[in-house]
Amino acid sequence: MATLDALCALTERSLTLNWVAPQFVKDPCIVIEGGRHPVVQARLDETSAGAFIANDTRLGPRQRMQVITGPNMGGKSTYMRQIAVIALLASMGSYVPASSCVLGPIDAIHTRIGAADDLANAQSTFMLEMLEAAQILHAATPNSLVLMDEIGRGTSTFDGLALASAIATHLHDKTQSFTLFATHYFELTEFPVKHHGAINVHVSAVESGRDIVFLHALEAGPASKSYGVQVARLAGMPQAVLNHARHTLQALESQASAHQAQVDLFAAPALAESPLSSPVEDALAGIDPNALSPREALDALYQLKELSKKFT
Amino acid sequence: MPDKTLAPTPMMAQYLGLKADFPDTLLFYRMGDFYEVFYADAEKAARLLGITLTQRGQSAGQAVLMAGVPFHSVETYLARLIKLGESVAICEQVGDVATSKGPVERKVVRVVTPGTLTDLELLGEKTEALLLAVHQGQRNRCGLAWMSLTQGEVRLAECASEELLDWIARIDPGELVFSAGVTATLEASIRNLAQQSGLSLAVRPDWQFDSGLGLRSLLQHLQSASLEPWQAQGLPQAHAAASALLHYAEHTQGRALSHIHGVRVHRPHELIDLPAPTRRNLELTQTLRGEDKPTLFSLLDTCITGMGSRQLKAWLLAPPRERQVPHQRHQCVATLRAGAGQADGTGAWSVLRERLKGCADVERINARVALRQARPRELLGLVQTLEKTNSLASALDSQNTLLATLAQALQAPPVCIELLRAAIHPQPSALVRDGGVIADGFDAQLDELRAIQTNCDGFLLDLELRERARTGIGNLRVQFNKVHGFYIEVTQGQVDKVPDDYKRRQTLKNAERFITPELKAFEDKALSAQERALAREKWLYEQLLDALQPFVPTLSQLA
Repeated sequence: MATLDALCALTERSLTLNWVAPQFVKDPCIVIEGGRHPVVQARLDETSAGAFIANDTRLGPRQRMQVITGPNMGGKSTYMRQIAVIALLASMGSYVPASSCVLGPIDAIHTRIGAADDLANAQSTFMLEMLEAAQILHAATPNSLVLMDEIGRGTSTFDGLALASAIATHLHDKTQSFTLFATHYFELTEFPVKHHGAINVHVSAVESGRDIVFLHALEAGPASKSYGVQVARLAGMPQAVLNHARHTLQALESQASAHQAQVDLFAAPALAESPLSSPVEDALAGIDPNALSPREALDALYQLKELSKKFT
Repeated sequence: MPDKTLAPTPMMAQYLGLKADFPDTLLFYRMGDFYEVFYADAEKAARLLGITLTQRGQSAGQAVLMAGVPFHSVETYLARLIKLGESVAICEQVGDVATSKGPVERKVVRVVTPGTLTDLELLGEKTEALLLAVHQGQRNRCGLAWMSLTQGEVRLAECASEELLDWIARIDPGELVFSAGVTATLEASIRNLAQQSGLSLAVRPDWQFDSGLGLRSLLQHLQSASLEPWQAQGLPQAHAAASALLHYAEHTQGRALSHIHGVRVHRPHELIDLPAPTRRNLELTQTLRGEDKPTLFSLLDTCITGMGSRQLKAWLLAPPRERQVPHQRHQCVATLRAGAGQADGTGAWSVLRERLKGCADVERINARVALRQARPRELLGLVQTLEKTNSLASALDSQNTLLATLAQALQAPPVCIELLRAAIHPQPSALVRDGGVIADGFDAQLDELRAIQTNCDGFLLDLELRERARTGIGNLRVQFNKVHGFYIEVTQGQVDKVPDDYKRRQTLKNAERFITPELKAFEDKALSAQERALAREKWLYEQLLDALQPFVPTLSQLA
């Protein structure tokens, strides 16, 4: 009777929410067309805050990883979760919120998404993040579905970036799991260039004047901007702070393009430095950080950079 | 002679004797219309429940701290304590109050613990209370055995030590039983886990974790010579855990479990792994803030019955890797959907759902029948539901294999329905002790006792007429008062007409009151009728529960 009741509930849901029967196949793949996140969609319907934008997903043996970029609040997390939820619903015997769904075998669903500090255990956000990531890397298999959201956020930029790219590489080369890798490091959009099982996708948004409109639709290719300032504006950040941020951003961007400062993360690690002192080190020795203004310090840094380029 | 001031009073001696068996459990000690708790228990209960802490005289030269709750509202207090993760031993008066010298004999009749709940009022409708026993075995192996007392199935698993905490988190029990003999490291990590997740712990002596004992008691429960039909042989660590599990469950229920009908072995790699972070991040049954909705489960769960909701939750949290079962369910859904496109918009599913409405929680009631704790209204709900199941079965499409199997299981045993229908009053009172739970016409003796209560006036009028005719006294009256009971009143002028079998009871100014053997017999009957009717009902109810035992396995299939 319990079984019957549960089956009837599944039937009722499938009709009311317009779900379809998923299809199981032997070959590893996750192909979803018109996938929705049922809970988020229900909440949107409730508040009539607009329609949920359905997205397609196509993961197979040749394309095991999606690197997802795009503005914060753009729906990266929702998109990733919806795939896991659809896979889970199908595996429990329910219909799924999509227009079609084909699933290969799945042995585990691992997630590493956001985190609250675990104060009770005296573990920092970052420690917890790494702990969970480590468990995933150990446990994942080619039939696992892995969701990684903003890995490396809990530490400094370069640390985080380095870890994120290393983790992505491991998931791509070693475990070969189906991976959805959401990140705010644009540097990682370079990743698919050298790793052929991965592709870039991004959640789209358009700027209208100073504001931003999220389209929540997933498109191929890397995102062009992160729209952090616009999101901050939506959140009600004071105008002065926003102005300051915008100026800083412009300055940073122009410098970055002038120097093409993006690091090639995926080149083989540089050989160990020669023991001889290089011109860079000499120049470094000549700088007294205490005597420099911030502006001078930045200039000095760029000079060092130029120097090091010449000699390597 | 011992110093009287230092020995406890007889009652406190009895209390302390009982309490010694339950050092970590609150002991509710029945005294008349109250359950009392004493000493440290009293302080704890007063703190947890916000009830008044008082003193009750002195014992052994010290004031006795006491707190109490009235017996008729004990369930609500129990519910609160269980929610706080406490266990409560219920100690009832079992001796006869009238005949005993000194304190009435008392016994702990059951222990209510978070993992062994069967009471519908204490359990959430949609959650299962699971009891889990873990055993730390040789060579880094651990055994697990768990069950819900409301289901008759014991689950077994074995794993490596380092996986144990993952298993516990996945099973998510309400209470964990472990041996006093586990290593300090394991104990520390279990206690740590318990503190984080609000899990209750029960430590049991090491000898209860015995693999041979567990195997024997499993075989005994299943009435089988081997565990091979369940492929549960050769799992010594899990059997050891099962030994402690069953021992503890019976200890708390105060009786043997008669409704265990199956064993299921969980092997690693048969389920899709959903580690704790995944379950949390995907907001399957709890949001990230720990609320119940909106979650995937709250969205999915439109089940009509609590049983269905629990089943659905179990499916959601334990999807198999093997695709056969989910595929079967997809086919069922497809079959049930059929006809949805019709003009009236009703498919098989909506017919079924309409018929499922008002169905009782057969699964839990059945378990309570097996534990002999079922209440009258639950049995009424059971029979009403059983009468519906055939109509459910008829709405199922026999083309689909799974649905056909379900239809098969839904055939309620007609004997059982007849028995319940005949026995249970159409509007039973909530508790057996209130009477009025057995139907009229089920038992001749009970009917007679009830007839005496209701037909008192008729009998007296009838007697009056007969006696008038016999004696020829026209103004003879049959009456009743509280002091003298029933009597026949004859005015002084007519006294000489009184026959020999009239015995004088009382003389008034102008009347005499008599009693006859027939009236005396009626009086005895009438006055004790209510008491005896209650006793009879209680006995009949016990008989009924006995008679239902053979149906327990069938009914658990049906549920």
